[in-house]
Amino acid sequence: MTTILKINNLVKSYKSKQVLTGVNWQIEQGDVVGLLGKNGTGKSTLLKSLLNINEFDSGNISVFGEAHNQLSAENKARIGYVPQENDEITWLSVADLINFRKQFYTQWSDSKVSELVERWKINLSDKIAELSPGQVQRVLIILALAPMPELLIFDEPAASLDPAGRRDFLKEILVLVADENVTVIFSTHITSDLERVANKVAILDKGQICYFDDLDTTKENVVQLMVRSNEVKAPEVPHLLRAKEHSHGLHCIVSEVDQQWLSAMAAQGHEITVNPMGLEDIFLELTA
Amino acid sequence: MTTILLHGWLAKVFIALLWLVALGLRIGMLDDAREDLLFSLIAFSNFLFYLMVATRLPLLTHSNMAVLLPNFPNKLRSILLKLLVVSLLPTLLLLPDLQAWLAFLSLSMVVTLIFVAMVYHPKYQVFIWFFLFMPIPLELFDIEFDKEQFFSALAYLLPIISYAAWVLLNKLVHYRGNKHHVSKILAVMNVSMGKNLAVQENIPFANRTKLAQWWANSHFNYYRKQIRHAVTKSSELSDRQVVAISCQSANSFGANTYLVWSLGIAFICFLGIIIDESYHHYFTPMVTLIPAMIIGTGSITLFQILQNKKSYLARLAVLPRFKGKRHFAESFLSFIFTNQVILYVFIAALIGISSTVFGHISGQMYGNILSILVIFALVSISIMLLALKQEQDNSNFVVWLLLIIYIAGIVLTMLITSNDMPLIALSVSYQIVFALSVASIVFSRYQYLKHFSK
Repeated sequence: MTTILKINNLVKSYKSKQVLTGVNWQIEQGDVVGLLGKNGTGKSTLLKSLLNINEFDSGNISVFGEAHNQLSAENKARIGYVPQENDEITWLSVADLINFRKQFYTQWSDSKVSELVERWKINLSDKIAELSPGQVQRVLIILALAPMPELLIFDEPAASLDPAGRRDFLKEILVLVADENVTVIFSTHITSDLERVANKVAILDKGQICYFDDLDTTKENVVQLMVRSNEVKAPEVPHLLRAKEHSHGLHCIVSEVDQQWLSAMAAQGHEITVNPMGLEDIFLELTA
Repeated sequence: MTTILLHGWLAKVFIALLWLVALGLRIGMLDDAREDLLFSLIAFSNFLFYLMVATRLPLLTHSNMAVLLPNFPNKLRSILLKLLVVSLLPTLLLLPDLQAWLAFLSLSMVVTLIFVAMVYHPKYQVFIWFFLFMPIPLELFDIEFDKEQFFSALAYLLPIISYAAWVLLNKLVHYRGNKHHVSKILAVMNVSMGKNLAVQENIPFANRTKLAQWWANSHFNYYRKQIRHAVTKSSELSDRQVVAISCQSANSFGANTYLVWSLGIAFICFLGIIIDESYHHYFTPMVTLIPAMIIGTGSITLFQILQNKKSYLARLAVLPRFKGKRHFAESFLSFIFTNQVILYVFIAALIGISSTVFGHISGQMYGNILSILVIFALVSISIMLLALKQEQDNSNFVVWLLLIIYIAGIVLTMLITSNDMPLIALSVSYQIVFALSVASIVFSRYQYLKHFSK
């Protein structure tokens, strides 16, 4: 597996508030990563930092093996980005905007543009200002895909879409991901979106990636343990992600159930119940 | 409610500062010689205050609060009356000239009514043009402006004006009409000074007037053609061109604006050439005001547009076309400098041509105006660059700063031209200021590029 992106100890502050407090993260080629986080946790800041759009206080990022702020033109062309907000030039028609953006790249696939424009039934003569949010989102995706990128970064791609539009959009991402051997990172706070598309899940909380693993493994392994005993202390619980003490014992979230430990606890007379969790519950528990 | 009407500390500080200056002037005033200056100072600060309150009034009258809050009209009425009383306190400095004071009260109320009317109904904005061109009919019909008579009339009209103001105030606190126009005002006034242009930009195209749509399209067509030309000729747009296209907005000062102002000035100059010289002074206010207006819109507006596009430009800067952010920054600087040089050369030419035709300023005055223009250009561009390099958004502060420098520049120009001073460029103090201004632009350019070289 080739490492596409590597982030070491990334710290970023806005005025006195530290948004990213030391992010460490590594993404391999072909991963489709859903980056979950509550509103305002710094998802956009993290994505913009790795794209070199934002500055940061300390840490380092490498993309395709090069420092993120010294990327060669070839490697820059291998990255596609769809921002959260449409800040494109709204007075240009779709055709003019595509031609304008083409000016920024040495490699540009006109056939890819034509294929997507046709598939999404976008009228090239319409001005960006006249398009619906869903159509704008699709134009932004076309702009990101036309240089045939190998790393695609979506910042809350479906936030401005209604449920039907969101479903269509996610379906399109699946098609794209199946077609190309691309790596995708997309931020969202809607867990159902992530479950539809991603094969890996990362959770950003309190300025750090507090969880990162395969989606299936996550759904299979991450469980809640209800320990009804005051004698079992949190540090003793294997693979512990989060623990909360209650008067009657512990509520723990673990990344994997250690069957041996469970049996040992049962043998010692401690009552422990294992509760499976949905992704949304996992997210809420880990970021509570 | 008072907090909403007086939101923004910069405006409040500025007005309070003007009132303090007026107080200082009154204390230090030994004779009547500076009475006019005192009157003008209080008038300027108070009118600014009324304008600030008037533009924020729709935030209250057209909010849900107006419907939901019990006794809303009475509360709003009493707050507006309180603000009027507070604003009239500095006018006591005009005493013991009772007539001037009473006249000022009348004038304040009239001006406030006009401001409020302009905010709620765009048709009343015609008053701006009425005041701008008032000197022309006065001259044309040979009407003698007698300040004493004017003040006396205003003083005697005070009861009628007060009554009218009271009636209109009672209507205003219940007024909920003209929602379409007021919603635009609300959109602009809901944000800080530095952001109001950004909000105007977001007004949907279809909601703009047909004239505004045509005007914006005629401006954008120039850049659309550049893109289409590059496609048909399979050529590349230059770095400066792509930056320029990215930085355009409906409020940009573009080729069509230059063309219209040029035609306008050409027409005025044509009139100046064919009519008798004795009528030339009718045109003086117009040819003086036009360059001042162009500088304001061409420089401060540019900053607001660029500030608004900052995140988009940051995104373009990391695309493969540019070797690095520094490469983009160089193209961006090239765009700003070209844009501003064209603007100031145009202004200089405009003043030169109009002064040649109308002879309202001497060659020496022209030299002095250009000297001030150069300093203003250098300082304002330096401030813009230093502000644009910052990651945080200081646009509110910067726009105020640019406005203050702009007003200071106009006041300075008026002082210098009214006294017909010798060429200031030859004085040591000007040369020091010039050297400092050059140093500031070199420094800001260096800082800007250094910031993007990391």
